[in-house]
Amino acid sequence: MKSMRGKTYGRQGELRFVRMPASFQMPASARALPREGGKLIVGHSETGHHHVMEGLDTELYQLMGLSRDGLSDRFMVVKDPDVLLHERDAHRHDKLEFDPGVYRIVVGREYVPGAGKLGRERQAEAQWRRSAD
Amino acid sequence: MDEREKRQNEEWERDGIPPRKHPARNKTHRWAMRVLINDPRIKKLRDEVNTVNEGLVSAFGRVYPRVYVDVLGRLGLDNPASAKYYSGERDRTRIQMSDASYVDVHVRVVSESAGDTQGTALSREVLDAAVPWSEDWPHFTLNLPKFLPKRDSDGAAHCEDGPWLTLADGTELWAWHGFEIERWWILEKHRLTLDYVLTLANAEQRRTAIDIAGWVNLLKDHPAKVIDTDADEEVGELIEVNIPNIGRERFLRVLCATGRTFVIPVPPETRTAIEGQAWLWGETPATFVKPEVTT
Repeated sequence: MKSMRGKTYGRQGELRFVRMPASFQMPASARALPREGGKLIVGHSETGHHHVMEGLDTELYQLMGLSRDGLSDRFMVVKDPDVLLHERDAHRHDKLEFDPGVYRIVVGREYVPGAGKLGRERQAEAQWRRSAD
Repeated sequence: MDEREKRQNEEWERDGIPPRKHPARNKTHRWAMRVLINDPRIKKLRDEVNTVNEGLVSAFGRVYPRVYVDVLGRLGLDNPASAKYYSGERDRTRIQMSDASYVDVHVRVVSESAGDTQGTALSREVLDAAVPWSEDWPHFTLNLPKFLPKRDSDGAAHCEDGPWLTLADGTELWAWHGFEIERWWILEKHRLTLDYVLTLANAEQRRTAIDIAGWVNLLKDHPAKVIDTDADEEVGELIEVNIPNIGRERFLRVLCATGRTFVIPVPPETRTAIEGQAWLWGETPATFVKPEVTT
């Protein structure tokens, strides 16, 4: 298991985590996200291999409205040391330990091949998509 | 006590049923349900369990997997005398009831020889497919595997020339190193063309399709041009490919922390691998910081 202790930038698969400074205040527009089936799913997977926090005390917040880049609209508040698990039997990402703090979650993106051929109006909306696995 | 058990306890508490105080011993292949004592479904359950046992024995031959039905009475957990609940084996399943009004039924499937490679075939995913779990259980119809499931050396569902799992009703499941795939990806590999593969929206599917078709085969008629190679394999290599019907596009070919290679599309104006990597995360090369820890 690897750890975020003493580190600012971490990554598990298509999720990037950035530790926020101690002075960070959660934006008023942020809303707490509920657990799904008891699980705090930090990153959803189309193939069912979600990224899930193990502990019960960690909270997930989502900004209402678009964030600066459209990729990082969620924050994770870790109150007690917690571990991020990847729910897969084989080729699984190693566990990532988080010490208490607030972390910004960035979901990676990718370009849509062929988007350059689209008309200018459609290009803006179809040039990239969030990474999915 | 794992998360699932905690959640189940919470549900049962809401229904006025005492929570389970001790975690069940076998966490791997277990389903739990609640039934009323004297419910006629109990007999049905017993019959079904016998069927499961016989079916598994015939399907897995000498491995002799056993299905256990553990019945924990409502009072069984609190009263040592009534904790003597139990149970069933391969050829003699019996269920003894306490005087409780509810029972907590666990079905566990184990193999007689732990670590036996045949035994590991009885994984949760096989059983999920073979024994559809629903609220109506135990009224399930058993759909056992016809043949031993096929796996790769890591134990992931995998078969290079057929389905990895075939069930009794003829249902076939196809997988490549643990990822569900389309049947034709295996049987008609020639249809996995460069334009099809590189435009798949799901990164795992794209990686799997490239793996099946072979990167060299895909690029045989459309060689990739290497634009930039970063010293860090996780930052990757920036390549340009002339894709039929689409045109020139650029991709990052990167090594994932799990040891697998992914091909990720980036904007055509990308000039370096690190610029592409920064773009993936909504950054510029000036603001992008490589992660200090990756898993």
